[in-house]
Amino acid sequence: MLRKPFDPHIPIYVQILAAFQRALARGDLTPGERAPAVRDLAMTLVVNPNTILRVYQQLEAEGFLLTRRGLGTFVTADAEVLSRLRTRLADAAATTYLEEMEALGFSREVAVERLAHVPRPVPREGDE
Amino acid sequence: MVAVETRELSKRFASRWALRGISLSIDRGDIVGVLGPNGSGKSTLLKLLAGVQRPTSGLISVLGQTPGQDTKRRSAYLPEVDHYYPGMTGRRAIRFLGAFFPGFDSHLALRLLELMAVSPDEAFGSLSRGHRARFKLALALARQAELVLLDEPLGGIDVLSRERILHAILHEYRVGEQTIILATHELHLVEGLFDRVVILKEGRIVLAAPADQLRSQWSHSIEGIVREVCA
Repeated sequence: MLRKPFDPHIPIYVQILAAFQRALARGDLTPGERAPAVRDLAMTLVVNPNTILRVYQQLEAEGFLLTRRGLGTFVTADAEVLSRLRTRLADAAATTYLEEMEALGFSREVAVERLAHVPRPVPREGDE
Repeated sequence: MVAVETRELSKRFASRWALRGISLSIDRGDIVGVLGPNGSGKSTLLKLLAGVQRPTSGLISVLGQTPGQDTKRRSAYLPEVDHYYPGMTGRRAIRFLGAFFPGFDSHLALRLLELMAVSPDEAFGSLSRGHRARFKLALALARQAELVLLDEPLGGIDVLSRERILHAILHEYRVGEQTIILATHELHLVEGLFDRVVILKEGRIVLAAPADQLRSQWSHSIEGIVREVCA
């Protein structure tokens, strides 16, 4: 789920929350699937289990996860909720791009047109 | 609930003040990093909390009591120095500790040694530094204490041992119940473990806050923040 190690300059909670949301949006975790146990994920990422718990609580509050007493934490079975998340994250990424282009003095039309000509990044050694 | 509280805690050795005016409060269930360079007072603070030394002045409350027999029973302290006889094997140490501490879980101790790939039949003195650190940690965690005080559990050991030790800590940590206070001057791989950090310099607290709050305020790693405030 997290392909890169943490950036220690950014709150770990923020990074795990964002990675989890991306995993849900991409479908790495599917509707109704069981989410990793808090301790397992804490050990995998070598982070405090309390941090994972806070992430799960936030995702629960947003309706993406639900905890069933004694059974564990599950991804919502409502595919519509996950699809809305995917749209929300895509909109956020596109907005960031457009704002940056606007700051560089490009019109929205030019910015959109430019996307078709962006060279693909050359994969670096060690990347998946 | 508060696990540890100190008020104006000070400790003097002969003419040198090791700690001065330490006031802090640690919530039950938190994993707290006590950070700072060598000689900043980390070990002294842990010794006072463990009840193996007494403060020169100030107040300490550990699990609601002044450190003493009862708090020693309810907390596990891993000192920085090697405190096992060189000839003692893991198996014998486990039997020995089981006689002292009613809550000591011998099966868990053996499991932890196995988890960290330490043979229970090898003598402590013949283990490598990294394996001695694993040995000490397995026995400290097997106490299943409410408060775990770890003084430099990762001091000067190889990366593999570090990973094993961190995994063992996370494996046994009882979320929300157990309080872990870990003193270290090396932060590699450890940053993600802490709810809060307390940074000491020359015996005083220079910074004490939730780890993520500091990252967010400083846009810096905890390691970088320690370097900056202790420079």
